[in-house]
Amino acid sequence: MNIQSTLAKRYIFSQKRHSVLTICSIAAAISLMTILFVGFSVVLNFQRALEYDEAPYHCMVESITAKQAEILCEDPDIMSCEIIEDPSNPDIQQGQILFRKFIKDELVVIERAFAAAGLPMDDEAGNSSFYLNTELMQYDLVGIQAWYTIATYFALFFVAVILLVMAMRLVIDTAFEISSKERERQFGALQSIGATPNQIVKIITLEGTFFSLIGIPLGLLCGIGLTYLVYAMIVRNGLLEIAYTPEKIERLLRFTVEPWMLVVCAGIGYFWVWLSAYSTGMRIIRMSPIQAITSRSNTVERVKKHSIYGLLCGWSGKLAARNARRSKKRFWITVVSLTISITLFSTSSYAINGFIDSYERYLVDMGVNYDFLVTYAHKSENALAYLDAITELEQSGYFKDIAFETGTWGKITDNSDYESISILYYNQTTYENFFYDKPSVSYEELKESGKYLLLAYPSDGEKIKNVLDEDSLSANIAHWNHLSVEAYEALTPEEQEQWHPETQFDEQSGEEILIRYDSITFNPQTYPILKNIPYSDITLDAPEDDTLEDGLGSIILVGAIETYEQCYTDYGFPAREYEFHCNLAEDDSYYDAVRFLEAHDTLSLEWDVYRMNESNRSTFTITRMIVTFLSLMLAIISIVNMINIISTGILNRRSELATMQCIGMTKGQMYRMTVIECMQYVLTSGIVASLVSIAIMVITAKFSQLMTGEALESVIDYTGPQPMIWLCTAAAFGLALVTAFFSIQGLRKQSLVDQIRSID
Amino acid sequence: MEFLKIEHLCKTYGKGEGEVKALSDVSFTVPKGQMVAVIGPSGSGKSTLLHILGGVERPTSGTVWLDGQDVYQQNNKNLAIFRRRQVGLIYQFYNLIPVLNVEENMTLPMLLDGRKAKKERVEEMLKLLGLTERRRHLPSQLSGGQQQRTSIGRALFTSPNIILADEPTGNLDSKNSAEIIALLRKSNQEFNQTMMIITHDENIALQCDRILTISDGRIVEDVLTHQT
Repeated sequence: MNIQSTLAKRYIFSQKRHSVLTICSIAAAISLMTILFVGFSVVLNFQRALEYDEAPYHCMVESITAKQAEILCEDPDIMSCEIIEDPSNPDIQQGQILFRKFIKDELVVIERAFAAAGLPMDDEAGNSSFYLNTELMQYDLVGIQAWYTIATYFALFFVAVILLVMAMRLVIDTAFEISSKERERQFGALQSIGATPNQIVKIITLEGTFFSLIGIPLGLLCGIGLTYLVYAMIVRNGLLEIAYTPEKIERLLRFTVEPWMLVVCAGIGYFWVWLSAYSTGMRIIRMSPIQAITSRSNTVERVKKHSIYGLLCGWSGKLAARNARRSKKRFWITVVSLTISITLFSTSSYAINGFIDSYERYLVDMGVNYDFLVTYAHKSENALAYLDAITELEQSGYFKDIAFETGTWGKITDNSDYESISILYYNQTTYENFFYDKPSVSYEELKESGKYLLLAYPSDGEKIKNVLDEDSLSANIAHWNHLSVEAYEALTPEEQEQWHPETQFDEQSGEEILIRYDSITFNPQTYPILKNIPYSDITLDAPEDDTLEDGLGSIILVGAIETYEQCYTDYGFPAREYEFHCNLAEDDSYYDAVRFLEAHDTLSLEWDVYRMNESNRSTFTITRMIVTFLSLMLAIISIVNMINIISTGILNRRSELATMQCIGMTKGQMYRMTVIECMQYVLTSGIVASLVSIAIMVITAKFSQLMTGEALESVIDYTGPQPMIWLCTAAAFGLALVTAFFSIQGLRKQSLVDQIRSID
Repeated sequence: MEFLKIEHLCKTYGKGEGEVKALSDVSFTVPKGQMVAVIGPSGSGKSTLLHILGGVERPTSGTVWLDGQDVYQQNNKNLAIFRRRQVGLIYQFYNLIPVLNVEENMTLPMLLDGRKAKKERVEEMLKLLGLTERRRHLPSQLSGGQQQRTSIGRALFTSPNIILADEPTGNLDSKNSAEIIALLRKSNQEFNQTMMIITHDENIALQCDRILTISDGRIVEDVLTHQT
């Protein structure tokens, strides 16, 4: 064993306190890195599992035989092809294909395998005969697009890794700087008796290696343990239940640790330890031996003359303020890291929830409180054709809460042209959704009466007000008339002026073709009114007293769909296309429901709100998980830093503290000064975190407003995170006090004389 | 008249094989206003004696009476108050507080006592110590002599009954040393303060009223140089 190694070991054992602190710092830094790697892996695996659970294939073939599936499996790039029954047609078998990972071009594989199996690339209608599940493909690195997507994920991950690596460096550096600062004179003495700069650097880097032997495995274990704790917390507290069912979370969210990740963490960790030790060594050898021997680590060149703590707490506050700023860089690093971790921990949840709430509220306000918007296009002359569509949707078994509305419009009698009226007929689901499940008149009551609810929107509606009757409303209702092209051509030019051409897009020719001529006439109708509904009943934003009498702009009459069925002939020709809102019957049937609509002749999926919401929730959930991890990591970094700085600040000043006691400072006065010192760190952090939090909440509100186009201040609680911020601040203060208390207790094991002599 | 009375003072460090007797059965008395030099080889127990007299380190056995008060009968809090009001300590390496300037360092015992230093007293002390121009300077901006004068100012500021100096000139050149000793002598004569000075310098010892020689934790010689 050479002298450098012997000295390194002796220093480690002689400075037990610093050695423990350095090992803890290394362990904390490594555990953070482990949390990031394992957390990323868990999130990525969860996302993949979710996709696989929804659709366990990369490619779905619409129609396949067992023999063809067997031939497909013989392709070297195809891992499996499972045959399932088509849910909409038991006579047809579908093939669920999984490719092998790392395929660059899936279409080349499909083309080759399909040709071998005799499968067509397109069906008879010219549509593609297969469906690609790009979401699952991206997690399995199948296809060139997947490589780009995963590369983006990993790029973001590595940005986080780099940020964390910098933070790690801070923690490890601080630990090395503290322990070496104490021994500058010893290193100076070693140099003065002939130790070469290389030998000094080697002693310190060897110390780093010895510390790593304990710190790195400890950090890996702590990291895995902490990640598991977060994982268990997320599973138990239902953090993800906003987006996924508990059953799904339990089944799909798995805690896995990849060995290569631990190797990478350990490698990065050791590199940083070595680099920190090396740079500390280089700093020491840059000093001449005599500089090192005579150096005073606590030399102060400038102090702040006035401080708020001095004004508030007298001389002890003044001393505490000056002490805390003896190393401005470390003070501000601690304050900034504490501020960020407190802010993230307290505010992120509120900000994300606020954004989700405002977004969902916006959707509800826009009337988007359903999973699918389905259109029904038909050629029937029957105005009740929509009933067929409802029956089909219901019988598929994939949909529930099928909401439907139809109606017409007109002009209010005895009034100018622009005062319009809409007559809407709702089925029960739509009706209840419209009134947020709390209608003041039940659907049954409305249906039985055969009357209408009158809803008036505030505007400059004095004119409308004049025509209102308590029991009924008269209006001229639009009546659509249709005329064939031949009949139109038989009319005189004067008669033709009343008719307007109706065209339709022809897919084959790609041109608009004339199908008929339409005209609108207005027929007088009188609608019996069951009740006037206050505006506040149909919007969450309206003031409670904003009722009919406050001024009106337009009128809506709401009737039961059964009423429409009795009077639709009053409105002339039926609509060619209907819209339905419906929800997914079961979460697991999403893909089947979509395939059902895609395969249908007259029903088609106009807007997939379910997928959009799922994707948004997934994004929010991942954001929330990342922020939770990040705030946890930053909390650990800032706590380790704070403990390091407070404890070493006290240890490095033991001679001063002892001197002050020698000239009459009592134990109580010393604790008071230390309490103020601790308070400076956490109070400064708390105040800054509080302000930053308000700013974040304001930005969230503005961002929500930008996204949704509506003022949503009422949804976002600006001061919501404040109690949590001050709770975190109090916890940090408690931790700082405990650190200071134990540091002072540690000092008290030495006599005042010995403490004073630590300089002498 | 006995101002300081030490009886059978013993101080032992460590236990078992590592036990070191720093002081063994030391007894002596010092009248009010006497300036005593304590000399002896390194490790003889001089500094230990000084710290015990100053209420900084409790003895293993024996008693210290100061102005009729048994110093170590007090609890730690009262001992701290005793130190700030009755004792002035001066160290070889000054032990100033680096974040406080000259004036603040000097008035620190007063601040610790919850009292405000009188402006006239501050001016008087700064003038006496020749630090008026340096009153706002931090310790790092002062020479060794100036730092020691600040340290003496801190020790003298509350006009304590006893001044204990541990090699106050050990880190200074001869000119600064002479100035410091003159300053202490002046204070001793003007305020009738009792002083105990540890020194290796024979000239300084000879300027004192009495010389105590310590060896292996015992007083081996006690000589009066001037009649007080």
